[in-house]
Amino acid sequence: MKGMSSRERVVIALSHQEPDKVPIDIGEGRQTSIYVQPYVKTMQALGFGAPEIVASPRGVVDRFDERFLQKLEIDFRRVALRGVPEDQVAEPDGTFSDEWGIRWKKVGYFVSPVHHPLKDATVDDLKRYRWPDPNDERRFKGVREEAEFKWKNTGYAIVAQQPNHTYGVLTEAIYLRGMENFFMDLIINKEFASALMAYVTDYHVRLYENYLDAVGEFVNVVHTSDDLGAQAGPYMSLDMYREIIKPHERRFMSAIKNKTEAKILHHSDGAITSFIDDLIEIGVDILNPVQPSPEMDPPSLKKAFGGRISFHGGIDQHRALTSGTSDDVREEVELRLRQLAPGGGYILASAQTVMPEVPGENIICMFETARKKGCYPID
Amino acid sequence: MSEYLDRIRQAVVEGKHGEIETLMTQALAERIEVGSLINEGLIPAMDTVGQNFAAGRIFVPEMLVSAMTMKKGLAVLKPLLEATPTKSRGKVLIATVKGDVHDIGKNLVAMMLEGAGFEVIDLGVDVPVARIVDEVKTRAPAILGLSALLTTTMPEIRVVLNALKENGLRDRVRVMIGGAPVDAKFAESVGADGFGKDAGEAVTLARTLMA
Repeated sequence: MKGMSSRERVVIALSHQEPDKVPIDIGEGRQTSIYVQPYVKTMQALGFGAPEIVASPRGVVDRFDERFLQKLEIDFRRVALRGVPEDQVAEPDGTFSDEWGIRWKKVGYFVSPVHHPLKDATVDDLKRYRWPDPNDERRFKGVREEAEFKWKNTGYAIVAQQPNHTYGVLTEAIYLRGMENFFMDLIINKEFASALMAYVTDYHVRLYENYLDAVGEFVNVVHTSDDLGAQAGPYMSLDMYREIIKPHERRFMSAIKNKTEAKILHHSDGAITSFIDDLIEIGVDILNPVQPSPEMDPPSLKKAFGGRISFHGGIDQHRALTSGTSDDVREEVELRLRQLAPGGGYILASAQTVMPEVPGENIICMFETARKKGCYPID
Repeated sequence: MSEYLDRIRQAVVEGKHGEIETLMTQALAERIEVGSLINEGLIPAMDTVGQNFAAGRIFVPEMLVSAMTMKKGLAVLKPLLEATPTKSRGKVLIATVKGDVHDIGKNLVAMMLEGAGFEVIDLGVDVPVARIVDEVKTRAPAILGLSALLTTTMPEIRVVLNALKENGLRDRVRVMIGGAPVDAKFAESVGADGFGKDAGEAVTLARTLMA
């Protein structure tokens, strides 16, 4: 009997049914993936030697060695838009700027915005602002061909990776305006907040429409993100989200749905349980990263939302993976499989980016356990 | 008099930033003392804001607008404060440690501490240990607040505490710490004097440390 392909496995899981095994992913993209250091360690531990490095500005792996993906039995392969030089223009003070005019600085393992170009802007200023160009042909060169090739010649589930600097309608607005200014705008200058998000949404919509014109028929999953909160909880009340932010997110999700039947994989930081119904309503099909915490408790999430949204992530990196033994890692993976996998609707991946200090052996153990213990039915 | 104090408290709690300056001016015209306006008006109001935030009744936007309202009210009083100085509750140095640029939590703590009558000097983010030691030496604060938002930058807190010891400064300052991955166990292990899980707890802790 012919075994199930990765793509079949993923499609079945995302229809809230149990395939043969729980699908496995290395991460969702730049928000939850793996830093270069543990990737290199793992490649060496697997006996593949030092890999070619293709990384994001903060040092997270952007492209993986095919042997790495095969050995860990990753069910997904990705396509991405091309970068352009304007994505990362080095400034004399050691920062770099992007096409939005935001300036970034690398500090430790993170890259943070240090200059918000619209921090003092008015609504009129927005009309005159030089917004990035979503029709820049350089971004789309060869993308359709690559997606079509992977779709027709491999059995993997294909993901349209999030393009550079499309962090979300709220998150980009925050980077452009400054976090404190924007959060205050939500109360004292709603007109500005909404106008800014409208322009940001225009770019996201147009870019993704062009992207999906190229790859929409050749992908199973489309990747988006927008951070609605932090570990302690959401940044704003549900009412405020619904009134000011949700309409823009809805427009963005709808634009994607109009162009493809692929599922939307949406990343949001934060314990945002109270927002999940609304995210489902606007079209989010898969939620990442499902970082386990009292506020985002996997069994409660599965009970409340299983069957209506799929979960991607769930394997906590902070404790077992960072400082635990192999037994600790196995225990963590088996626990999350029991909590999240029954009934399908679960893709196993790390719940945070795999940090530099995580040992290669623990990463290998995580994926080996996921495969060994991920056969349905889960006991 | 109490009517004015009520309205001032209400203005801060509800973030009525457009009304606070007029209210303050009117209260002063009614000869309400600057000390009362601060200790019975602004400070208890920010306490309420902190409790509302901790209880999930308000969120970051409301907290920021309340803090802005409080600052606007305080600005009306500032010229008078310089004339009749009220004793500050204590000097607090606050910083996000080296390698970390997260600051909204630290900024909320700074605002809350100011609202509670502390003098706050914010050293910013990504602050090297040498600078922290230097500032503790020269500014002689009563309290040092350290923030770390990442498990990778938490160890830097230990580095700072050790550096304070090596420089003979550890006994001269109370150290409180915070940030999402920080907990009481970690605070104990690095020898901090306390930890707060949110801005409201930071104020309570600061008051306890000063007592």
